[in-house]
Amino acid sequence: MNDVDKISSLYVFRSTPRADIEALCALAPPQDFAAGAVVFHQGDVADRALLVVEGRLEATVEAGGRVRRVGEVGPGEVVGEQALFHMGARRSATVSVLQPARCLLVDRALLERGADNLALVALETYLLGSMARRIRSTNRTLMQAWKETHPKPTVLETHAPTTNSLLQNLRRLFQGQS
Amino acid sequence: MLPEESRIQALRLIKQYPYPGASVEGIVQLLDAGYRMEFSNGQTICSEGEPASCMYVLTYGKVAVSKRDFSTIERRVTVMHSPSIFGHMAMVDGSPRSATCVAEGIVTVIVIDRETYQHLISEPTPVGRTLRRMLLSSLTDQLSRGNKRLRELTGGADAAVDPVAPEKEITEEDLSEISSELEGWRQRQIEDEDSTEHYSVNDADGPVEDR
Repeated sequence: MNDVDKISSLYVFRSTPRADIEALCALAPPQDFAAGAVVFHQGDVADRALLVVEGRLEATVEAGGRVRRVGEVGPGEVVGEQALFHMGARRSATVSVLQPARCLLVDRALLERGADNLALVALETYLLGSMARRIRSTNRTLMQAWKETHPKPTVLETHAPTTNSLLQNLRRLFQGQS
Repeated sequence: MLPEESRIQALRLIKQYPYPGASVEGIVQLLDAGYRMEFSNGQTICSEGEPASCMYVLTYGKVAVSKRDFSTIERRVTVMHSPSIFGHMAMVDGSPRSATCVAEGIVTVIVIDRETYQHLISEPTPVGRTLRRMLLSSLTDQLSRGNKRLRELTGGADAAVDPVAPEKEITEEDLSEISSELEGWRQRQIEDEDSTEHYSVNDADGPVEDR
């Protein structure tokens, strides 16, 4: 299966004409990454996103001297998309290659060059949905953490929040999401 | 909206929501695709919990945002200034309104209804691209600012990378602030030299009418 076939088979491009995927591959040929390679370093200025065509990547976060795994992405998923719409953003996680991967590199220049490409339209539409889901998920996590710490509303009115307990709850819940 | 007014609004929106390939023409077309509404002081623009049928581009004035807190008491969480887009989360994921918006003084918005949104969002045209990318710029900012604030408070990853604040007591106001940032109610304030205040030559009348 060639790159165009592989990309066409991804859910995000299910309705995209093949000609636009061919054009996308011509604009930004997919690249290979060996297992163990680090594709993004936490703290670096972010300048591109990756769409995984095949293989798997993993994200880890280092904080307070500890490294924790926060997520894994596979074919059809995008990592590092904040770089595209937030100038000067820094990577909040290190992303490395878990299984040999082939990825499309998407940067701001590609979005400008391929402005009318239907594959990029599909990718942007997909990102809108996935970012909205992440926002809702983060918000739910936050609310859940608060509710677990404050089971009854009346407690809020009569007792100050137990900071340590809330912090522990938030940390535990926040670590559970990517 | 007058052509010159549209162009000023477009420049201000690009500053607020920078995106790749930003074009004044694209935003002018987007503003033209919606319709203009004016609200007087104290009028409700949208109400928390209600189903949403449109998103808004705030082109003039200020909008007070309030939400019911955990105790179901309605609290004011922020005031949005023009230029801002709001009510867009409900368009993206079909959710009900997550806050109540009330005009503070005279307010002018451009309304982009659901039908127009759905028509434009997957269009490979300058106006479709403008809508998608402005929303992506806003969502990225929302997620980034909300997560950063959360991590500052919990001593998480961003706090380690950029230790702007130590851990501190988390209050209900903190949570409300983060939630509002995530949902796009609290927006980045831009330093705006191209204010459109000048076209509101008469405070009693608000912005001049389209001619």
